[in-house]
Formats: sequence, structure tokens, C-alpha cells
Amino acid sequence: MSSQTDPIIVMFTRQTMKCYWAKMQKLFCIVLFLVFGLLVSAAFAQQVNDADIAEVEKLRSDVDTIASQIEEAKNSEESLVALALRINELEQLLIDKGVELSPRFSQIKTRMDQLGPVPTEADPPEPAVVSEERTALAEERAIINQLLGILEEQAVRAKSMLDSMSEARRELFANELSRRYDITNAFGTELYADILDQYGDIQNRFSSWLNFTWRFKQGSVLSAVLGMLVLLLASFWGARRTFSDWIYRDPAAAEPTYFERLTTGFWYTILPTIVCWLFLFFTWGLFHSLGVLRGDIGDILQTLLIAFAVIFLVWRLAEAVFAPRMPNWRLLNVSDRAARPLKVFVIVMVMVAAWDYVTGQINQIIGTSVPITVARSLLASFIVGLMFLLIAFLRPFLSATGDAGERARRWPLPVKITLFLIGAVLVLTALAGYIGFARFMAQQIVVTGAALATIYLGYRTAHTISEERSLAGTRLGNRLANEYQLSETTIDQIGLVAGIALMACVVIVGIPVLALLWGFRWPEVKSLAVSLFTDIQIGSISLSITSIFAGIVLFVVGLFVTRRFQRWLDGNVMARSGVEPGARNSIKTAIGYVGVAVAALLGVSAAGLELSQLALVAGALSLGIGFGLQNIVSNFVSGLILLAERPFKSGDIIEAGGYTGTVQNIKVRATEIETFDKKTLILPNSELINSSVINWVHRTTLGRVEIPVGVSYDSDPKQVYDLLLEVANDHPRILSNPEPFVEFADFGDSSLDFILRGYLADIGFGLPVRTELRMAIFERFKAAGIEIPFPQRDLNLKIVDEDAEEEGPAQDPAAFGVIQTSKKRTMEEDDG
Amino acid sequence: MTSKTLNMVVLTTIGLFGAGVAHAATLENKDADTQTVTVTEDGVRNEVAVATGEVITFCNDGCFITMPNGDRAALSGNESVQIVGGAAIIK
Repeated sequence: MSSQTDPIIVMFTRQTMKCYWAKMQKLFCIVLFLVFGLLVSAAFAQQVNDADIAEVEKLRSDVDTIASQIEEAKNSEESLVALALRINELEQLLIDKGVELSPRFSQIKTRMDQLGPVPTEADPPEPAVVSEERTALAEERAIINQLLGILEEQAVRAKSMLDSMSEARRELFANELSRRYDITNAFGTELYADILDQYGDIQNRFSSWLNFTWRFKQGSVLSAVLGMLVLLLASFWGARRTFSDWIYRDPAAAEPTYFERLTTGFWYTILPTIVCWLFLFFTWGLFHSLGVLRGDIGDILQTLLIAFAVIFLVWRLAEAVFAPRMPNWRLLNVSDRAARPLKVFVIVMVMVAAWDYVTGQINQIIGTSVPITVARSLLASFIVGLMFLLIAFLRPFLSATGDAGERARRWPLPVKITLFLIGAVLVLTALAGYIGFARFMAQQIVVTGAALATIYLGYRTAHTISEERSLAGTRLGNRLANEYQLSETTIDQIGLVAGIALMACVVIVGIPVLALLWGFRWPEVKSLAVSLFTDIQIGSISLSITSIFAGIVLFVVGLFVTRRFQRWLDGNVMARSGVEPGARNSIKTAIGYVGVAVAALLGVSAAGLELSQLALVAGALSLGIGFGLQNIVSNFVSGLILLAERPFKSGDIIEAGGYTGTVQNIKVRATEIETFDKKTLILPNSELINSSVINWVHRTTLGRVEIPVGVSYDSDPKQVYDLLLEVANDHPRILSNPEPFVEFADFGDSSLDFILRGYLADIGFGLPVRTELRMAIFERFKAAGIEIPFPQRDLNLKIVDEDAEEEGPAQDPAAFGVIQTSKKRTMEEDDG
Repeated sequence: MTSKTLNMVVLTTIGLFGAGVAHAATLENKDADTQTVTVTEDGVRNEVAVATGEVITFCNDGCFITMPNGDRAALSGNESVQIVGGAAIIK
């Protein structure tokens, strides 16, 4: 290996010497070429030096060392894993070193460019300083190239080593699975002797440790035990007092909702578990810090504590989920009779796993023995298998009516067969001596089962939270509602969003975890996820979930910024600079459109769609738009014209489309007009552009009111005229300039017709003013005795002679039209 | 509540998003001809031909490259590299 390094080192020393001299001479140049000099000094600050070369060599020798260790590691899974980890680290180091060296290249290149090309024969010879520097730079460049080449080569080597190691691991694994142990031998006297041996060993260790600590660290032990007891009491009572409300499952509760059951179950599991774990953690910390634990005893204790912590968690969880004695609070719909066995099943599973873990760890500490390992694995697989066989014959489901009392239903046949097969295969392979296989299978089943169960619980939770009206009415929902003044619908929507988010989390976390459990490596999972997230090809368009997400986020941010800007401009700038409300509204709306358009463009381009591609789509669509979306586009454009030209603005009173009302809002497609009876009229913008619109208040709000009134022919027109003018002048809202005037309009059928006209500063008050004017006119006329007549008809009655024939119509044509009455009655009599 | 919460949500989303993006280096050929670059990524050597003006994305977790002029470089995975005159300009 040293033979490989020598040339570099020789070359390097030569090169450093040259550089040194070159540097010395360059002092003069620096004075002459200040700018260049600065660059040079900066460049030379990071020269490649001996340390770099030594580091590269060190890395190479590290790779060599690992290469030499592979052969002997090939028999043990653990050492292979450890080696693989080291290679992974080394790979990173190789890259890092390369990255560290690379920038020097650019500096050399810049400097060489500054020095210019090598002069040809025709050119005048360059100064020796320059040519020497050029040579030095070229040599340094060659060295960096060489170093990088070495690094690259080692990276390739490391990779091939990794490949061969994973091949070796696969072989090891296959061997382990197909290896057959003689279990009759394993369970013979040898096992018995080994167990006695190991038991004795543990006993010795413990007693010697106890003796030792009791003798020399009595105080510490006592205080540790005392501290532990205090901790135990404190956590027990503290938890009782604080959480009992949260985790209490009232057996008498009639029908708690699923959400209540779920949250209670959650707290029932989590809170005591956290307390328990904290207790274990602090106990361990206490013992550890007091120094009463010897190395091996400490390890054994730690293993036991971890196993206990896991069992505790699963026990609480199983109780929360199956609740054998509280069918009301059960989280899964299983029958009463199946709840207890299922709970026991889960707990036994975790206990087997924990026991396997603990014995494995202890074996590692005090030395392993083949018979014990075989027996341990056999027993574990056998128990797991047996549990599956038992579970297969359970009747877990409620009867079709859902009544807990009725006879429950069995598993569906495929499930039952699967459970049975798993159990049978485990038991049979274990008994047949394929311990490695049985153990692997049992382990995978337990771990995968645990992961699946967790995912299922997560799924159920997400489902429950997102259900309609599940969040509202709960403690959390009520608190949210009170604190933020949210309506029930909002709470419901929050629940929906939370549920969906939780579901996404379950999928995002659950699937990789399952993949990892089933032997996929993290880099594989990662690269799969990365490719899923970064590259989806649809035709020539390349999309990725992240870029789409980025697009959406950008769009939302754009909208948000636009809204904020609108609000700021409207509230702070325009309001204070006295822009009239209508113009404010127009500007605000226009900015809103621009903002949305910009945000959409940003979002689309961030999502990875090129705008030129969009232009193509738009071109194809424009024909369709020309026909199909004609109206909408015309309305949209009309809306823009309305905003720009502003024939009316929001707040104006206009007459359009046969309606009169106040303009509320000019929108993209239509304008909202509120009629005086508070109906909202939505008028397409194109109609407002294409047909005539009357704007009552276009330039000014000045308007005229007209009150037509008729007086009887008995009245004095002059008096009426004066009275009407007086009324108008007395009214505070009628302007005196332009002054009100009265028109003697007509000699009507029954009346002399006058029209009172007056101007208002704001025609918006037309209705009340007219009413008030009429009231005043009525009162004044009444006071002045001026009659406002009804439509009148004069009837001329001609009374004929009494003696004339009473029967029949009048013969005399002159008497035509005279009504003959049977009784003589005159108007005078009536009046009298 | 709304604007504050919304701010928080937006910031968190951007943060998550930023954290979740895998970094990669880009390589752009600014020369008039197609250039071939040797890329050693994860211990596997590949020849990559880059057409004029083409930008390729590669090197998620660090790699070594050899430029057309024989210069080598190592990338950590977030650089942008330009080929100019067969040589690399790394930014």
C-alpha cells in the first residue's frame, strides 16, 4: 500500500517547495498587481496539503481494514451488520472528503485563466514567476484529480463490499431458516445441566453483587430503595389524583358514544403507561446515579425494566380495546365471551416476545448455550403457535342482531383457516426441529401483528374523529367552541380535517414501518418514497407529489398575501387618503383578481407544469371557450369594464333589468344588487354593459322629488300655490338652490292639478321626504279649508210632473234621461 | 384565532415541506456539443450524456463526477454544476 502513496508524496513535496518559492517571489507581484494579488492569496489559503493526502490515505486504509475483516465476519449476522454500518459511515466520509477537496479546483482554474494560455513560440517569453506558478497549479490540479480518483475508487470498492456482505447475510439467513436441530437431544440432560449452570451463574452474580453493595454501599442502596418507594407512592397517588377523571370508565354508563369510548380508552392506556414509564425511568436513573449497579447487573435490570414497560403498555392497551368486563366501553365489537380470550391472547403474545428478548439479553451477558437457545426458541414458537390455534376456534363476533347475549358468530372461514394454518405451521415446524424458521416466523408474526393492530387502531380513531358530529359535544369540542367562538359546523369540519390528517399519518408511517419489518432496507423504502414523491410521469409532463403540494401551498400563500395586502391597502392606505368607498371597492376587487391570477400562475409553475405547455392547452381550449364559455367570458370581460369604467359602483342606486336597488358587489360574472325590499338581484355583467342602466347617483346624488296634488275647483289657485311652496321651503331636506317650484299643471276632471317639485341633496332620502311633504300638504290644506276632491261627476236630475202617467218611460223626447221616482223626494228634503 | 392559526399552519406546512424535499444536484451543459460525464453515485459508475442546454438532476446523496476534460469533483448533493468548455463550474 505504501508503494501506492509514495509517488504522490514525492510529487507533493516537490510541489510545495515550488509553491513556497513562487510565493516568495510573488510578494513583488502583489505590489504590482494588487487585485490579482488578493485573488491569489485567497486561492492559496486553501491549498491541498500533506494533511489532505494523509486523510485520503487513512480512508483508503480503513476500507482495506474492513475488506480484510469481511471473511471472518461472514459467519455472524451481528458482525456483518456492524461492518455494514461502518462501511456506510466510510462511504459518507469518502464523499465528504471529496467535497472538501473539490472547491480548490475552481480556484486553480480561475487562477490559470488569469495567467492566460501558455505562450507559443511566436509570443514573447513570459516571466519565470508566471510559468512556475502555472506549473505548480497544474501539478496541484493533477494531485487533486488523483486524490479524488482514489476516493472514487474506494467508494466503488465499499459498495461492492456492501453487496457481498448483504449476499452473505442472505445466505446466513437462509441457512438459519433451513437448519434442523435435533430437539430430542436439545431437551436432554444437557439442557438441564445448562439451565442449572446458568441459573447458578445468575444467582452467583446477584448474590455477590448484593453482598458487595450491602457491605460497601449500604447507604446508597437504602436511599435508592427509599427513593424508589417514594417515587412509586408519588406517581401512584399523583396519577390517581390527577387523571382518575380522565381514565375512569363508568360501568353504569348507558351508551357512551364511540368517540367517548375511544378517548377514554386512549387516556386509559396512555396516562398510566406514561406514569409507569416515568417511574421506571427515574428508578433506573436513581439506581444508576447512586452507583449501586454493577455493569452486568445494570444491563440485566435494564432489560427487565424495558420488558416490563412494554408488557405494561400492551396490557393497558388490550384492556382498553377489549374491556372484557365492560362491554359498553369496548373499542372493538367483539362478543363478551371472546373479549377475555383475545385480551389474554394479546398479553401472552407480548409476554412471549418480552421473555424471548429478556432471555436473549441475559444469554448475551452471561454466555450462551446452544441447548438453551434451541429450547427457548422452540418454546416461544410453540406457545405462539398454540395461541393461534386456540384463537382460531373462538367466536369473536356479535350475533347478527348485535345482541351481546346471543350466541356469537365465528371468524369468517378464510380468517379462521389462516389463523389455524399459522398456528399449525408454527407448532409443527418447531416440533420438527426447524427452530430457526419457527422462531423467525413467530417473531415476524408477533411484530407485524402488533404493527397491524396499531395501524388498525389509528385507522379506527381517524374514522371516528372524522365522523359527522363526533367532535362536537366532546370535552375538546366544547373547549374549542368556547375558546374560539366556533360554531358546531366548524368544529365538525375541524374533526373531519383532523381525521383525514390522522389517516394520512397512519398511512405515511404505517406502510414504511411494515415494509421495514418485512425486510426492506431503509434506503430502499426511502428511495421508493422519494421517487413516488418526486417523479410521476404523465405523458411529457413530469409531476411529483411534493411539487403539486408546493404548488398548492404557494397558491394558498399567494391568496393569503393578496388578502392581507387588499385589507392593508383598503383599510390603511385608501381609507385614510380619502378614496371614496366605490373606488376602494373597485381597486380592491381588481387587486384580488390580479393576486389570484399571480398566485395561480405561481402555483402552476411550482407544480411543475410549464407555462408554455399550458399555452398549448389554452390554445386548444380557446375554440371551445369561443362557443361554450362565450357568455361567461363576456360577463367576465363586462365585469372588468364595469370596474374600469365605473358607470356605477357599489353603494349606488341603479335601475337595471327592470329593477331598482343598491349595488352591493361587482363580481367576476355578475353584479349583486339589493332591491329596496331586500331581495338580492344577481344581474349578469354583460346585461349591465349592453343595456341601459339608470344610475340615480352617478355624478351627484342631487335628485328631484315630485308631489302631484289636486285641489277642488272651489279653491284659490294662488293660495294653493303659496301653500305648496311654503311646505317645500319649510322642509329641511328640500334645497333652496335650485329652488323648489310649483307647477299649475292642469285643469283636471275633478280638480285643479298642481305639481310640487323640489331638489334633494341626496336622492336616497326621496321616499321619506315625499312622505313628509304629503303629510305637510295634507295638514296645511285641511287647516286652510282647501278640499282635495274625489273624482266628481255631476248628475242632473229632472223631476217630471206628478200628474203625468206613472207607468212606462217618458213619451216626450225632451224628457229623455229623467228618472222617475215613485216617491217624491227632493235634495232639499234630504239636506234638511 | 383565524389569522394566527392560519399563519402557524402555513409556516408548519412550509417547514415540513422544506424538510421533506430530497436534495439533488443539477448538471447543465452550456457547451455547443453533447458532453459525457462519468457519475459515480452510491458506488456505481455511469456514463451520462448531456445534450446541449440540457439540465439533468442527479446525485441525491453525494457522488463523484469526472468531467469531459478529465477533471474530477465530488458533490454533496445540493450543488449546481455547469459544463463550460468541458470543464466544471460548481456553484
